[in-house]
Amino acid sequence: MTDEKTFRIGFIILGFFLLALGTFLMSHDRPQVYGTFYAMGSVMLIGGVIWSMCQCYPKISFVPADSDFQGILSPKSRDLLENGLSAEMKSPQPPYTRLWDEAAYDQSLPDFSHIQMRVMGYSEDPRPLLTSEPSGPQPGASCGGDGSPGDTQAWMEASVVVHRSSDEDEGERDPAQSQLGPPPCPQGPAPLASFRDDLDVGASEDSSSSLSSVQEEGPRAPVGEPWVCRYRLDGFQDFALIDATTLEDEPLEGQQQQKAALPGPRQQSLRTEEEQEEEASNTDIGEPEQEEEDLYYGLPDGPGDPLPDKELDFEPDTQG
Amino acid sequence: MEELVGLREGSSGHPVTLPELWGPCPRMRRGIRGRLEWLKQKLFQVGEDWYFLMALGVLMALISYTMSFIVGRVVGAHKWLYREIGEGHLLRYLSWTVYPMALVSFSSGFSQSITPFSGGSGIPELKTILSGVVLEDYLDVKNFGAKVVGLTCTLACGSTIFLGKVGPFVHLCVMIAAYLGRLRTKVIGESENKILQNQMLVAAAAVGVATVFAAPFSGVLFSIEVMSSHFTVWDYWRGFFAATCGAFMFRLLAVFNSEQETITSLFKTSFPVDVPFDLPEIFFFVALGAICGVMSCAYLFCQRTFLGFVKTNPVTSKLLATSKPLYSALAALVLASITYPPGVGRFLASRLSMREHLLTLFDNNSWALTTRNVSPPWPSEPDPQNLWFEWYHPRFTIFGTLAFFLLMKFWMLILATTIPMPAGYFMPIFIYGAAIGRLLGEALSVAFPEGILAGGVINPIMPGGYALAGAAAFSGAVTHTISTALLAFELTGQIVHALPVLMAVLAANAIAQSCQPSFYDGTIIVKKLPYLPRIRGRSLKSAGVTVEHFMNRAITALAKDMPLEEVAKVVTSTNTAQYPLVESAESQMLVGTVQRVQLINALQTESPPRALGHQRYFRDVLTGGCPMEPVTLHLSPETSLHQAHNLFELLNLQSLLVTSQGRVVGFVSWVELKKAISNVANPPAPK
Repeated sequence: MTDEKTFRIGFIILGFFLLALGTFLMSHDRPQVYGTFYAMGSVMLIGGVIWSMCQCYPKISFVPADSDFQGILSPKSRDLLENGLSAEMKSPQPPYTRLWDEAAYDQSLPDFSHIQMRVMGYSEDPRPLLTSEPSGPQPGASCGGDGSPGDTQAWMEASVVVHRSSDEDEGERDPAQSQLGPPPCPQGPAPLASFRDDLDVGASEDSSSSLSSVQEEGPRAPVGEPWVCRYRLDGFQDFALIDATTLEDEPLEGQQQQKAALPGPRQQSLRTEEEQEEEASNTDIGEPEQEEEDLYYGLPDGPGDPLPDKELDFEPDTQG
Repeated sequence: MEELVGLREGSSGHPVTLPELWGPCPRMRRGIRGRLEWLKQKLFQVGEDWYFLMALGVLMALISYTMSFIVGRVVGAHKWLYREIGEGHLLRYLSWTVYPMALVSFSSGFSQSITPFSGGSGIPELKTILSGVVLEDYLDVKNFGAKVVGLTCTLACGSTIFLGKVGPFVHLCVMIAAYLGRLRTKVIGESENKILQNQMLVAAAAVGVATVFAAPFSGVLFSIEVMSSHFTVWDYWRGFFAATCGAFMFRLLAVFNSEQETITSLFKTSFPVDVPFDLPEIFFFVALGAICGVMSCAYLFCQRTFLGFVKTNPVTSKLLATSKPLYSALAALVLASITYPPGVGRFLASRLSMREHLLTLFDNNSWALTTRNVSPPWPSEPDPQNLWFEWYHPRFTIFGTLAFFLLMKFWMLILATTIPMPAGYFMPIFIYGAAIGRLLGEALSVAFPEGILAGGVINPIMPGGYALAGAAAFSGAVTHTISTALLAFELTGQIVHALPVLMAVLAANAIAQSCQPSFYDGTIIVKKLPYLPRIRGRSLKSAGVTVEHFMNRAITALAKDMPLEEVAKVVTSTNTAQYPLVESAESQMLVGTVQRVQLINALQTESPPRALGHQRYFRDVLTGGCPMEPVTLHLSPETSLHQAHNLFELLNLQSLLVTSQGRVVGFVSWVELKKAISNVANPPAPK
């Protein structure tokens, strides 16, 4: 959980700050002043360091082996997503994979994984939108034999193009379908699940060189569901597209301007290029503007902010 | 998110996450955790807020003090350099101008590279956030470092750039409060409560202002006036508690650093306490207030116009868009060249820092009378005992200097406010107002050298008191607040001028509030931030306006007995975030609302047996998986504009549905309210 990580880091930084302040306040006729600051600062520093060290142990690398396990896992994940956080998960806790992620790839993990969380958790409280809480990589079964590089950016794009994939890739699913087993299709991760096929299609064009990516064997979503979900999603294929086009104007200005600060837009524009490549090879149904749109698909303007966009013409970089 | 859990052997069966299970020294961790739980329970019996508020106050005081310390050191280094560089004009000019140019461009470049939110005063955006609008990532703690560094660099430029500290510091404070709020949520273990979060932010805004001014009373009141439309008394308590902790810590640090012997006011003045002013002088104080009001209108108008000009002018807007540090450096070059002491700066008292400006302007001598016969010298370095000599020029006298200062600083300050770096805009206008007051006071003391005769007792006129009144009046008029009067007293520690200063502030506010929006509201307007204006002037014509006149009737309601294709068509053809749910298409009885994302989700995961010919209706989807939210608050068409406006402000609402006898007939959001308010203020011409 990133919040706890920022608390630990904040604690350590505060310790340093108090030490520095104590150094500035040094005066030899009153040693109690800087003594207090030194004491407080060093206590906080040491406490923060110990706390951080305890978090990094053990380094677990977990690879669930078989689809039975995935079947057991997915209802749980489905419940989690549908019912929000259950009682025992009341305080958000880091997914286990975060441990080894964190240790090895902390600094290079991209910042925009919170966008991923939005798309994945439809039934969740949209409040997590406001805090940049990277949800971490989605734990799940490793598909094995997929061949896709599977870096976080790839699955972020994939998870975002969820609804389009269901529409246009139907015809091309047959080779993928045969690999898939038939566990029941979960309600929640249905959008998640369908991206596995995008990994097939999109990964090959994934120019990971254009992104500052870390090639890691990220965990995959459960593989069993997509074909069932796709079938269900059949009925409303046009729905997603039309919705995407109507969303064109609205969040485009608002969101893009409001998120101007995030590293998002740059990577998003890179991602849209990728998706366009991907689109070109698929049966293209929507216009190119849809690419950007799908990034915002399903993302509200902000839970407390249902103003029409004329009001959201927010210019963050103007001076006043 | 997926979690793997396990059971500890011999435990009661309560699953624990794997990291916890396999962490090192489990027994010791359990022991520590148990003790921490006990401690938490004991400590938090009083309520956990107070600890976090105290932590907030103390932390902000530490940060403020450190920033002042660093700024003091850097400024000292610059003065040393300027002194040591010798007599050569070119070198001295370079050392005078390159220093602020470098700092300003670094400040602007560094803060903008981390986030564009770091530029400018943060108060307009905070005002918007506290009124309920969500500005994403504005309170993200990663902006903290950028803003601290940027602000320190801005302050280190001193009176050359002539900017202050309030806005960004309040933003820093609110950022830390949001962070501490998350920490509190985690420590207490509850789920996030938006109301509690908001309370913490409101208290943080108060603490920020109080810490900057080192004045708890006026700080809290100023933040209430500037940033909230409604303020509960409970928030008042929290704000005061945190502000007092902060102010105490700030002064304590000053004592620790041997700068002061005990906790005293920041600007010590020595106005005579027995008869600080004569009764007829009150008339002049009120006149001063009126003058300050007029000048504040001019300042606000010019500032807004110039800001718009800079944004629309092709040259400057391109420069701002492509290279902000370059624009900042150019502006700093202009400002520094004008304040170069051997040149024009001689007439601007530019060798004084901002604090010394205030100290000299509150001086209790009358400069005009003192310098009538004696002409003081201009020392090579400002004399710490007689800093006011900086204001004197043999040919122009102090009147010329003060007038020139007012003239030049007017446009220089406006130029400085357009520089895209973190800076506060309160202190410069406070000093500007003090200069206006001083000028009037000096003029009066020349006009009445023996004082205004009142009852045979002679009391000379004190220009320092006028400076105090002018500072409070001008800053109050620009920010549309009255608590600057209290600030003037807290800063100087002397309350003897209470009544005339308050009257001056009221007069200035009366003029400014009827002509121009305040500084921060003007910034909101220019930046087009979403904000609900207040209804100005409860005139008769606004009394008869009801919701019926301005509500938006174009509402698409989803009926429970709608077939699913129609629902899908409605959802895809409109893009509102929330749909009202009615019982049936004919009755239109409101039963709840449905969120768009959940609706889409539910529709998507619907199995499509409609191909089998079985007609499915919306109510099946509702029972299936799409949650409906009840409507807890709605308007009626007979609700008046004032009542609706009050509701929106009090509860921080964004939109409400309008129902008439249970049937939904429309909705009201900020757009409609704003239009209605502007129609009341400027009635449209009848067609």
